[in-house]
Amino acid sequence: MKPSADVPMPLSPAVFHILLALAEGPSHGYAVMRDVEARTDGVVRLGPGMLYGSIKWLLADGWIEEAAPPRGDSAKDAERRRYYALTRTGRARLRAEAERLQAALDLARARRVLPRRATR
Amino acid sequence: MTRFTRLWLFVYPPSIRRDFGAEMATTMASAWQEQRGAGGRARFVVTLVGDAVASWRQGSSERPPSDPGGGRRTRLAGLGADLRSACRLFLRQPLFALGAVVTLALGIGATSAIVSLADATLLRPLPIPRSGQVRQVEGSWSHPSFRDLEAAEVGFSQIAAWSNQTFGFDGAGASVELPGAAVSGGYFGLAGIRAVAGRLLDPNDDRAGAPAVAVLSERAWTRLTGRDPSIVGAVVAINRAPVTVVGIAPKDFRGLSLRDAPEVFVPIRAMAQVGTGLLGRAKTLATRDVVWLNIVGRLRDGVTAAQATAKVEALSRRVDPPAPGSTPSPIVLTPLTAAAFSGAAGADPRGFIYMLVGATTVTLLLACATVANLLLVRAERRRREMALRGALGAGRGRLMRFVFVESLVIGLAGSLGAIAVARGTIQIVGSFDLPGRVSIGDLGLSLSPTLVLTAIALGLGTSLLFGLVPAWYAARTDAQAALRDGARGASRQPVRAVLVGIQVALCVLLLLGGLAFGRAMEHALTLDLGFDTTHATLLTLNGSRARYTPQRMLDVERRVTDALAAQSWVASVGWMSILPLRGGMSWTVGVPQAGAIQPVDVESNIVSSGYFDAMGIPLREGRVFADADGASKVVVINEALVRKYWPKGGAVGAELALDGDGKDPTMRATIVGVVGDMRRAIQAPPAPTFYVPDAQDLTTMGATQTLVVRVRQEPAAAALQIASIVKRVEPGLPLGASQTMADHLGVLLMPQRLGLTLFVLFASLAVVLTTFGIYAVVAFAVSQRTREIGVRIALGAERGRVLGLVLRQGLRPVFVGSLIGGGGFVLAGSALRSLIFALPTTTAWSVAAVAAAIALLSLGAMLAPARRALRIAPTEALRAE
Repeated sequence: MKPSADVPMPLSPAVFHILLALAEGPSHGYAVMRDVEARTDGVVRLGPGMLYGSIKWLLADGWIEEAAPPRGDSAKDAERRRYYALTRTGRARLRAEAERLQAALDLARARRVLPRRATR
Repeated sequence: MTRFTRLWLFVYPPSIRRDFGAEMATTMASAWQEQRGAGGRARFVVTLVGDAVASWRQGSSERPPSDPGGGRRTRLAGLGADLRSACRLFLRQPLFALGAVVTLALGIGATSAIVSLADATLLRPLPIPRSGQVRQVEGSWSHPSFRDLEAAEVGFSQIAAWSNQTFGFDGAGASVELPGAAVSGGYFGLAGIRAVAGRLLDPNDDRAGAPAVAVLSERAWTRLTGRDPSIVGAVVAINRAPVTVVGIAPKDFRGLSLRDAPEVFVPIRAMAQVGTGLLGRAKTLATRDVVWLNIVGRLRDGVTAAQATAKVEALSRRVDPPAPGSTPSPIVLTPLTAAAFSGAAGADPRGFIYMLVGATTVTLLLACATVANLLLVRAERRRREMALRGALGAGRGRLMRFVFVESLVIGLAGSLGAIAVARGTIQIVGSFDLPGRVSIGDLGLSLSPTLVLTAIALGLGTSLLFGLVPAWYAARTDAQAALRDGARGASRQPVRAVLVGIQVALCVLLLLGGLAFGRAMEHALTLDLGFDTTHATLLTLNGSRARYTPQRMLDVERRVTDALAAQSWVASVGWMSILPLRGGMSWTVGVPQAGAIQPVDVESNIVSSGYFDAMGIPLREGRVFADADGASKVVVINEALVRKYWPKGGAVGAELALDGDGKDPTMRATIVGVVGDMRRAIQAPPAPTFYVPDAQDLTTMGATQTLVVRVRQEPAAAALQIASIVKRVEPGLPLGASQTMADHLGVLLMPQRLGLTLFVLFASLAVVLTTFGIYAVVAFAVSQRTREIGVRIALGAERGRVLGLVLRQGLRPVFVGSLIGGGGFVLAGSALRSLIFALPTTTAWSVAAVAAAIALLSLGAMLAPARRALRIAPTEALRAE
């Protein structure tokens, strides 16, 4: 019995962070890799295999698509790299995952595992 | 970096590489350039490796693509289930699991232990730098000859000499006897080692007139002084002579020969002060007549061994011309790594080690073949189970993984067992000596990490290969066909037959080896050594260490002899300078031949008048010595010498020129008697020998003599009594171990004993493995044919004929295997005989006997299932389908 598309499965950290990186706009693989590493302070490190392996699946499932290079990037970069952008499905999935995490966080706060208000 | 990234791409699953190869390469190159410092780059490499593993796991998984990376938990759960399932199977079929694990453990464990022995002795015998360049100049050399070689240019960049000696050591509160060496000034330089403390000996220490100094080994330093640094610079006594210790040699330096590990090193020229007997005289250092040094040289770069040989030969002919009429022995340069093994009487342990490695390799192959056979049979049996699992929806990958886990468990358990077996074997082997008095325990054998890893790799490799290959075939077979046919399948009959054949051949090889060793041992034990080995005891009195003069020693001999002769249980008392079967002392004497004096090298021994009687050496002609023989020059010779130079008789009354050339009339000795031959070594036939009475030759006798007593009572008890009597007669004299002749010979027979023990171990192992393997395979093959047998009987075949047919077919691989194994041993045997003395020729009889034994064994294995198959009613056999 396969899970239906309506019941979202938790996303793997790799996929979650790739989608998150693309949420800011189309980007190429290497930029995603750096973004993920920088955003997580090096906790999540994506190697090329995991990165492109995930991109392959995400493309096949229609969560992301190839996109035209944004104007700002140099021509040389644009020549060598493919750019990827979130599709609607992808954005929906990312949102569903974020909500799932939010629900988990709420639960943790309710049970006082975490402080009620984030103190920053 | 770009080349590396292109190569590294091939580590990734092809599906990703195909679509994104170029991008991945650029990404990797950019990321690499961004890494700062070696640490960052190392971290990146680690990331890449983890990434490759992760991407395979992601790429090969069968989970829905909408869940990238999320299937890991379920996969692991599946693995756990497989593991549990495998363990359950082993519990249900403990014999199979145990058999496979024990087989692997024994086979691999024993091999690992022996490989570590071979490694310690064959592969890294001497811890000296570039030992491949070092050559030993064969033979023994006089001190002046060595100095000539040292001073001349003979193609060596470094040259050194040494002679192993035993020294009495008094110092640091200890008074012991230590193995030592007199070494030339260049010795430690050639060995290329550094002192642990202080300094090592250098050419300055080996000058005439230099103060007497010594270097201790780290082992002696630790044992005697507890690593007290103040020993460096202290004055100790070596053979009662004061000597300053200047340094400590590292403990892994065992000298330039494996035979004795020296604990004390003194310069050769210091032997004038610390030497005893013949070597204690300054004259010995100046004469070319006393040859006592081993010489090694390091070949200069670009100089071949042949060139160096020619130069050494030319020089030695010039400085030390051979006596007229005698043929000089040729100069031979041996690589030191090979020469290091040569021990007393040419006992070379390499032969043993090669043989051990051979035997263990065969055992290892046998173990692998057995495990392979067990796994094959099991795969056959499980074809139906596999087909059923497949029919119920398990993919081939799932089935393979199951078998994989099972093989993994067997392989791992087997390798762990192997490590335990190897440790045990090393301990057992460590208690033996190699031929040439190399103590295996001293070689510092240990299980290296490489060896442990190799053991694990072998265990896993065997179990995985022979577990997975049949499973792969099984998974490929059409499930319907397999289920319809039931458990019967004859597809891999030939493979199994070949494996049985191999097993039998290897087993025959090991059994014949064990048999040959047993007979060699028996031969060595029952060999007529030329003297009576029962009821005799030996005791060495070390007068040299106490600095006795030979004259004083002779007086001790007389008094001890009188005290012992007064005992009722003593039959006769004798003295000798050379112990039986412990090397010899070669002496150049002149033998009258065709009117001229011909110099020949003859073995000699300095003995007392009672020696022949006490040793039980029979007198053939003339008389033995009398106590009065000190005054006139007389000798006794053995039959070998008579056969060589007086084949027509007339030896008694003839003269030997003890000076070698007959120029000195006072050195002529009359032959007064001929005695029976005595062996000098188990490996060699008796050599021509002459005996000199001790009272006559005080100059060469030295002051260390060995007492032999023939007793009328139990010799072990007598040995103790003799020691206490000698102590009472001469309290200050250092004594060796008082032992029976049987004990003395037992030590010398150690190689044969070691070989026998190991071969018996391996052969029993082989028999167990083979029985196990053959039984499993043969019984299975017969049970597979139950239906066929039923049909044949239903069609009217006689039971006896059917049984005959089944047995004949089953025995075919056994016979072929026996033939191959027997033939192989006959071929190998001729090579072995050059290594091992008295290895009996393998007779057709012993091959036949071993083959028959294995055939009987297989017959027994086949009979039970065959009879069971015959008893089944035909209808039942057919219904079973």
